[in-house]
Amino acid sequence: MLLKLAWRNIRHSVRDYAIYFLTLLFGVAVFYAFNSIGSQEVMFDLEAAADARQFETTQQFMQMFSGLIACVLGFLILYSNGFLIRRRKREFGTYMLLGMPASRVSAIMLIETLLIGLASLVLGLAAGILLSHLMSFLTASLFGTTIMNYQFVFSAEALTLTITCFAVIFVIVALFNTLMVNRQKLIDLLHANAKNQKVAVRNPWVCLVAFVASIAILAYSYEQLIESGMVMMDDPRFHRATIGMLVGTFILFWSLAGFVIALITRARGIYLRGLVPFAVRQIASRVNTAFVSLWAICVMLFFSITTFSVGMGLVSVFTDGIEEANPYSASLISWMYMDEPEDAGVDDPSALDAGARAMQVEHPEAYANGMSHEWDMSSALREAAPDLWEQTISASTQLSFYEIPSLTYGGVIEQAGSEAAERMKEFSSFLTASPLTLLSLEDLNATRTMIGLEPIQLESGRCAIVNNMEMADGIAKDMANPSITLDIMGTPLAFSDEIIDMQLEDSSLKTTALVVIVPESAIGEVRAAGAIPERCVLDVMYADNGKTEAQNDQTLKTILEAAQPIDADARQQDAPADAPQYAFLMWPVSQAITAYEMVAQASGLKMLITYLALYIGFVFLISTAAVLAVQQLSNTADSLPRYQMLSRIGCSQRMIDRSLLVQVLVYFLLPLGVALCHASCAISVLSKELFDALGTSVIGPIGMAAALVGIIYGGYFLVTYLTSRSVVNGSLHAR
Amino acid sequence: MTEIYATPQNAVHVGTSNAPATALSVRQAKKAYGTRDSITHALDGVSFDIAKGEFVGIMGPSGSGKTTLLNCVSTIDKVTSGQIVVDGKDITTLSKRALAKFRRDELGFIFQDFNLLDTLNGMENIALALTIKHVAPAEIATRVQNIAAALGVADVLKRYPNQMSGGQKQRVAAARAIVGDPKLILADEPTGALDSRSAAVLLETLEMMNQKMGATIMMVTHDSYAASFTNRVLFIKDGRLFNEIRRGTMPREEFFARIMEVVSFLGGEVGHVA
Repeated sequence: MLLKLAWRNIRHSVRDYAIYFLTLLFGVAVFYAFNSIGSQEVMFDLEAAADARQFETTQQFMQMFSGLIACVLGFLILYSNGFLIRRRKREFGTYMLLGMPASRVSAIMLIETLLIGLASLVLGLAAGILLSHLMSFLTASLFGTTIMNYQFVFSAEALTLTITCFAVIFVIVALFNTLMVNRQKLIDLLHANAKNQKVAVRNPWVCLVAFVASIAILAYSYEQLIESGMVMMDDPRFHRATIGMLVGTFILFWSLAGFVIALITRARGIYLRGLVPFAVRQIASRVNTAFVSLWAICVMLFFSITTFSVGMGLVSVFTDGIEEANPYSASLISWMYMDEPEDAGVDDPSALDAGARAMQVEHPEAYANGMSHEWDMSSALREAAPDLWEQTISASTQLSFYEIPSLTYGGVIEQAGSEAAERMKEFSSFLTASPLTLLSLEDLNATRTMIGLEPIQLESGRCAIVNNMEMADGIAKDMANPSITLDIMGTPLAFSDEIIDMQLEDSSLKTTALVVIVPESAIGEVRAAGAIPERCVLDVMYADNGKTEAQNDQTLKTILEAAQPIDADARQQDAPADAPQYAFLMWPVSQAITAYEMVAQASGLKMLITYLALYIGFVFLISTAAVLAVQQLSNTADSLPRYQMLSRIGCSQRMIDRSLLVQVLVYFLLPLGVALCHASCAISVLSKELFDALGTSVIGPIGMAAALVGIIYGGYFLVTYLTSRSVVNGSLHAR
Repeated sequence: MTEIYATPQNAVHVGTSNAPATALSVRQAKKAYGTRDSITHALDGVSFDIAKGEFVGIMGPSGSGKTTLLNCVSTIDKVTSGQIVVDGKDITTLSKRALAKFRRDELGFIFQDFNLLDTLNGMENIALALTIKHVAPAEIATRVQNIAAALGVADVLKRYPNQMSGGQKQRVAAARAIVGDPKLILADEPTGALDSRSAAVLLETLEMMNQKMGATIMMVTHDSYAASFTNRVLFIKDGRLFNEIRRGTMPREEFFARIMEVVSFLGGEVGHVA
């Protein structure tokens, strides 16, 4: 009996439930689809563990964020459910008046909630499985590959997670409903509809002052935000901007309606036309009563738009230049000494041989090994596995970086004037205090030749700067100044005004920063004074041996293990257990980076950030849009007598429809507009301070964010308008 | 036409032959509810005229059909058969869109529950009747001020309905009904929700609107006191016109007594049946 009644109730109020149900369905579908990304792995021909690891990482992140998402969805469901209950208080009152005990009424509610929940869960999961299959194509394009084994993929893990999360949410909703029905007095339930909606009217002068104040606060926050540059999150200016934006937006929504009313009612020529006064007052009373939720919605929209645009911008930062950043098959790096010589406790830390002495103290074995090979990494590796080396490596060049402790960037830049020195200090005070990174022209040209670049010619008595890190561009330009001279062991070298743009080793980004190229003779003198390289990089190219890059990576690892046994004591220290490419305390190779891995990581990062941005952006958007839709629909239902009155005194259907459209449109656009203002400020700051420096534009991501907002938000707007219209028209025709 | 004129009550009415002087003319209006098996006639062939500038009361016990009649005249409901002619136009044949336009341009409404928009202040509520007619905004303000001054609500124009007394609300509603200069004002139990003092003020206002402003008013009421302010009272019972009394030159007290007689007669008859 109860089941039948519950079913009839749902069918009866299907219009009320439509948005609620759709949102639930979307929520479930998205929740499942994003949590099942890991299981898409089987569709792709993943050659290496590196690629598989990207799926795992993405999956882990999705699960991590699913907690937050579940909270948002839970709140959304409770909120919409609360609205539905409020609408039906009178119905419950009637049941109770007819003698139905409160427990039975609760039971009907419970069954209704469960039926809706079950239906949305089942349909949502079906939609989720479909969505996850569609997403596999996106994954393929993010990975720059094609789907090899297309098949039906079903993630039991994601299913369990989805069902658990939503079951918990529905249990909470059911408890809430039961409480709600039991706590109410019969008289309140019966008179729920008759209760007059309180019309919030505010003093226009107070509103005017508050409105001006809110604009001032927002302007101040924008200014603080622009000044802070949003680079450091612990910048007090950033905190002030955040608090200012929150407070300013709140006051804005509180005062906006009153301010606009005060303004527009004085402009009679605009105001006293058709249903304008009605529409303006309707919206104003909505905004005045719902300013807190409008504020929350605006903040959430701002957050989701910014997260999405910035996230997508970051993707292009990390992945656009990935091929250029990895011109070598692999870069093997050796760090000579872990600590600075002064920290290692050697005497006279500013002497040229201080590094050598520090290494001797810190890890004598590696020092002895390096000395015996004259710090030539390739000879040590070839010795350990000559056959494998021959098969795998076609060419290799070593870059040995030296430092003269007393020759710092800060000391050198001073010659270019105090302004340039100030700029460098602002860029990085750490750099100012660091010794110049020196590299011989010979090493550089050997490497250039290996990857098919023209060798660099350097006039005698000259040195040059290598830089391809965009953030350091300005500093490089300051340094490429012929009036700056270096003194290396008594030989003066003037800077060439040309900046060499080159990636010296494989990395996730273009990372060659301010390396100074000096003639081989200068390095020879430094070496003669007892210096060892501060750091060496062995760039290798794989042979064309018919093997894939992943297979060659594997062979390279075998070579490294032959040279540096995996169970060596020095390797055990500091190195992550599952990362044989790290061996910080060993010579020749303390770290190995392969182009293939870098590209795989970049694809993984791209996948991770893209999905995360989509996931958060999507859920936040549907949540905000659904809250607006539920509020607006409930408001329309409350306003039905007003529309009936309008129709009675002779308003045409068209006028009413148009007024309704304007109301829904303004109500949807208001928080979006404010959020867009804030977001454009934040994004333009980030774009200027971060993305321009990294050489990417955020136009593309902004376009994508706009499309996402347009589709989801626009979709909810349309459904809300059409439903409102049919509710209003239905009530007018029923008379 | 002759058939219609055969209705005795109307045959004695002067001025019906003069078409332009007639604001409303109801002819053999019938309204049936229900299925084929059980038909209820809410209106069972009602015919009457209201001349321009007349203030007519419609009375009758609950279920007599007076509200149905009002709904049909106000075009919210449709008659099953018969004609309703307002200012020479048969409204039973109008399309839905034309009906909205008709209500907007030709009718004014006063309801029992005021039916003011609670989000709009007094000024805006009255102006609404003009804005939806697309009257020039500059003209609206003066017209609203004038009407409000005439009806004694000039000082509540800035207030919202929940800040007004019941009487003020109803007079604002009356102002809204008349400000558009309608051919016919329909009042549905306008004193129903008012205390007796406010009711008297409102009725005097309606009387003033009728006498000074020349408004034609049709008022449905079950309150004999309210009806005594009119020029003529029609009594409806079981969907038919039952009786009609004119005030003529008699003082209101006397007219009231006459109305009471008919009402108690109506009530008595009902009592007999019961």
